[in-house]
Amino acid sequence: MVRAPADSLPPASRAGLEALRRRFVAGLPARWQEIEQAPDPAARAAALHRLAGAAGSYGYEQLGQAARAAERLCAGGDGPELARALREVGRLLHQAATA
Amino acid sequence: MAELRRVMCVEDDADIRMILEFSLGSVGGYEVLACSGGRAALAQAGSFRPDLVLLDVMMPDLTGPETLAAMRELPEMQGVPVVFITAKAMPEEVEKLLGYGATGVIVKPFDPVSLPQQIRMYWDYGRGPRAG
Repeated sequence: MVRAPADSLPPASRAGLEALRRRFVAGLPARWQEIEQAPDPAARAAALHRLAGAAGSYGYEQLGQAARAAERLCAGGDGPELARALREVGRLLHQAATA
Repeated sequence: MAELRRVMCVEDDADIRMILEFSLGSVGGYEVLACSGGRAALAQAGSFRPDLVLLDVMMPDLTGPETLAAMRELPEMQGVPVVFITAKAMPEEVEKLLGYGATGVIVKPFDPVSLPQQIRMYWDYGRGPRAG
């Protein structure tokens, strides 16, 4: 995805976009909790799917890609690959939330 | 000639719904109605009378394709372009979605700054000979 520069927006729109981004970041711990505490693989995949779509659209492409990769692995059930993928999601999510 | 003024977007994730609303409203200048699911969209389609619908595919109450099929039963929604928004960008998935009668498919993640231009492009296309 090629992004148009946000600075092409009028100042009010830039401020609006920044406020939304902050809101998204503030909600990341709750998203992580939803992923970690998902009752089954389908619920975990759904939570990762939503995170993947949202993160990239807010400019967190790496987090979005990591969530997408983990989502794909959910179909195979728990295993070391999924555990690694989830650790990476957690790392990037923490990075975004504390930046 | 009809203009693109009202856009309905249907998306279950609140963060995505909010950035869609921002992109289409604040950046694109459209009148936007954001719905959290297919049932809410169907309930409000008649009063809002959208010129175009942006429709998520994976939703818990009604899926995007189910919502589209139900919309096509509403007299006021005949011929209104519907664009799916999905994370599944494989060509076979896109073909499948177009097969349901959508005008186009936008892939998540999307760029909120350029999304209105994409929507405009689909609106122009949807009004052409393939419309309906």
